Amino acid sequence: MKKYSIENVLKILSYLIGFEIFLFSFRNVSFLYLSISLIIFILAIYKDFIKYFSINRNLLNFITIIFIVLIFMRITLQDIITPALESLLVLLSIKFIEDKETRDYLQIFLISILIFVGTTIFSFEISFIIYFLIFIFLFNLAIVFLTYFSQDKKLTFSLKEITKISYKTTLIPLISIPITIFLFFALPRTPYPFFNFSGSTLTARSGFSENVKLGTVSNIQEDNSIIFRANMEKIDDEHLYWRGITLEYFEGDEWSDIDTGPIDKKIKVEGNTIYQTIYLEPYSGTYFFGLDKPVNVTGNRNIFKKDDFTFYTKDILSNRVRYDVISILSDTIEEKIPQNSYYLQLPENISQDIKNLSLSLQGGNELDTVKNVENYLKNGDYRYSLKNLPTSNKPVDEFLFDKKQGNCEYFATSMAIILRVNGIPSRVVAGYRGGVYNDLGNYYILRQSNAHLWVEAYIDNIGWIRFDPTTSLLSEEYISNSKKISKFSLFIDTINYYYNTLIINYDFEKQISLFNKIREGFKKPEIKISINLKKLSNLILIFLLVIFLLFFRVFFKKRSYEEKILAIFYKKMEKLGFKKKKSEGLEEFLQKIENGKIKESLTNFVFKFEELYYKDKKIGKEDYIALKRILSEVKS
Amino acid sequence: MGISGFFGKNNITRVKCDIEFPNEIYANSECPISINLINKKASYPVFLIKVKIFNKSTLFPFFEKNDKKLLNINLQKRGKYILDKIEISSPFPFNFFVRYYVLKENIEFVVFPEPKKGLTEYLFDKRTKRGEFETNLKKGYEDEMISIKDYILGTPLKYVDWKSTAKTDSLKIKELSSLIDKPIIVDFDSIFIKNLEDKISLVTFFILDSIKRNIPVGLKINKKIYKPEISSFHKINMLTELALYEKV
Repeated sequence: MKKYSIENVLKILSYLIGFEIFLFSFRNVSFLYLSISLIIFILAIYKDFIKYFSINRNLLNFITIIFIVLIFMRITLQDIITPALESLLVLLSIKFIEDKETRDYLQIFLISILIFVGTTIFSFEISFIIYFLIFIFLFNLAIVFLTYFSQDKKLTFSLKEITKISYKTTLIPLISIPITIFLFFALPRTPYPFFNFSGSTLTARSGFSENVKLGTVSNIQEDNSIIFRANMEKIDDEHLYWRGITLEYFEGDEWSDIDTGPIDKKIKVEGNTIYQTIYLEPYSGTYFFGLDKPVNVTGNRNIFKKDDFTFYTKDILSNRVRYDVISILSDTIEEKIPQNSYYLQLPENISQDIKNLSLSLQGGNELDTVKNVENYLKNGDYRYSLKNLPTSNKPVDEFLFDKKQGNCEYFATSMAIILRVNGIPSRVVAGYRGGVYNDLGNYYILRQSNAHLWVEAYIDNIGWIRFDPTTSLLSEEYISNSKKISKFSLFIDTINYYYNTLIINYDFEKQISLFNKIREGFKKPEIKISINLKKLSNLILIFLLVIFLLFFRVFFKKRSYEEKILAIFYKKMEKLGFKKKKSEGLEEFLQKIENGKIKESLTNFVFKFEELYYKDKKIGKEDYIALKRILSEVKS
Repeated sequence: MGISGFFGKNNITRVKCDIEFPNEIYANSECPISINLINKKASYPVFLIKVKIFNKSTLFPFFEKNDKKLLNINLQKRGKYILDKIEISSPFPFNFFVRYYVLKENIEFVVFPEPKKGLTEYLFDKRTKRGEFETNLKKGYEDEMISIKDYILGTPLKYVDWKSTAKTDSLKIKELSSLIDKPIIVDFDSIFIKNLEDKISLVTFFILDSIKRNIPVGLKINKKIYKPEISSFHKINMLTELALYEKV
């Protein structure tokens, strides 16, 4: 019975896995990377199954390092996975072309898993399930045979044995897949994310409450942790106001939210509708945030709506919560409010300075006044800072006339007060501004540092209009302290996001949409190969380098001095008209030469050569030069 | 992980191990132990089991009912051995963990001394150099004479060849043809070789060699006498005696 060596069995299984990986991922990598890795992969097949050739391992390691560096160089905010996938694919094929030991096979399998998982982020089609099943079964077999290989590299099996081992061990994935699926649904999930670099446990962040004392928002802003992620389409930055609470009552250094009565049926908001799914981290408040103006918020809790488009629940949101928001993008709320409302309330001890300033900013009509005030604060002498804030018992005066620097709290408060002095109803809205969009997961990341306060002014016959008086002029300390989001942390955040959305918040709705996706995938299987011309230029060099080096190693292997000198000798002889037969010895060969002089010097060469050659010593460089000299002296 | 653990455990449980030793095991030489693994599981085969005995192991890659392998072990010293444990292990299925269990056994066996050639040569060589006592094991005392040689201390006087002694002025003895096929008794205690292990080894070879050549051989040791015989049972008794010999 024919026996197959364990190494061959393992090789075939590994190449099948590699082949499947190519088949599964080729749509998501650029043509260039695909071709590099395919060429190497095919060379590896040639090497392993048709004709063996040796490749310098150091060279391969060098190329491997280049590609690892490339991964990091090519990762951008917009696309993290593609460059990683492409480089991994090349790494995989390089692993294939190496001489493979147990650990190399393990690495091949590991890289395959990474590529496989990476690719699933892009495509979730029905074909995925087929790929997945094939992958799992091949992988299982490969690991089993690798276990054999690790124990004894010289084992051989008959085809019957291989079939039986394969067939019996396939029971392992057959049992584990259903159990895994069961556990996925049955097990309670930890609310802790995969990666928690800050080391902090799940604690509620400080946040907005019904009372906002001036200077406290800066504490929130100094915290860089994430407050929520909003899954939605990308929109213009100017619309990124995330509404939380409205604050109406000002006591000199503290804003509070007061009940503004029943919802007025005539409230109207017009604009584009935006749907968001928000994953709110625990914080010490009760308000739900949504893109300005949120008109509907739904979730698993009892959510109450106020007529100022804020949404809250009764208990503090101390657990991670998911909710859906429907917002209408608009600066304006069309509404009629009663005259002499609390939107004109002022603290009793308001200073003359403020009154004077307010009057000086009056315009021809209410809207002009509002614009004057906004312009005065935004484009005047005031600077943005989180340090050295006005915290006296008259903070607004201190800000406006003394320190002239502060954060949004002071800008918004000042504007609201000045408007109220001028008889224009106003309120302060607390929430978040901006956010970083993660293209990979299609969501905005909002950090505590995005906390913001802005103003809504009521203009007769129009309604509430949003104004943001906070200057974009930054104080120097603020610039030096501003934090950037690194690409790496964004990548990590994507993983955390998926963990939160897929694992923690897995629900029926998601199952339905998953089912729909699978169905869609069934309908229109499409294959796209895209060539990214931009990347071509900087990659063509590497491509050429790799191919050149590979071919150089394969076809121009370093020859020993023995081989080199003999080659020169044969060439010389050929010039003289003699061709050595394979069976002929060197001395025998010389007998053919009739010219005595040439024969003598060539005999001299052959004897010298043989003397060195049969010494069982390698011919060194010096010997080589000496021999070459003898040959060069031979003249036809 | 759990499932692979279950498979790993299932793989090495309900596997019976039968060990068979060869009849004769000699010290310091390869000895093939036959290991027969029997799978008592009705429907699931056995994968990749390693059996370890005396720090040597052999691999059973795959079998359904049973599989037999020879494991060569090499024991350095003669004497009584007890095989008290057999280690059965397997990295199946994924090499994440190696599962193993130890079978408690109590198999006693005797390792015979390592046979070393040259008892007679040893004795004769040393004799001339050191003038030590020699037992004329190989050389006979009867039959026809082969040669005349120098006197060896301890040779009975009747073997002195007076004629040549007179001729040469030194004591000569007659050397008679050896007693091939005639029973021999090795008097172990009266052989003088300093190193006990060497002595035992040399005697062991002599016994084995004699029996191989159909010469009945006996042994006088520890005041016990094994009468010359050529049966295998007899051979094993003598070798066991030598294997367990301890200086009193």
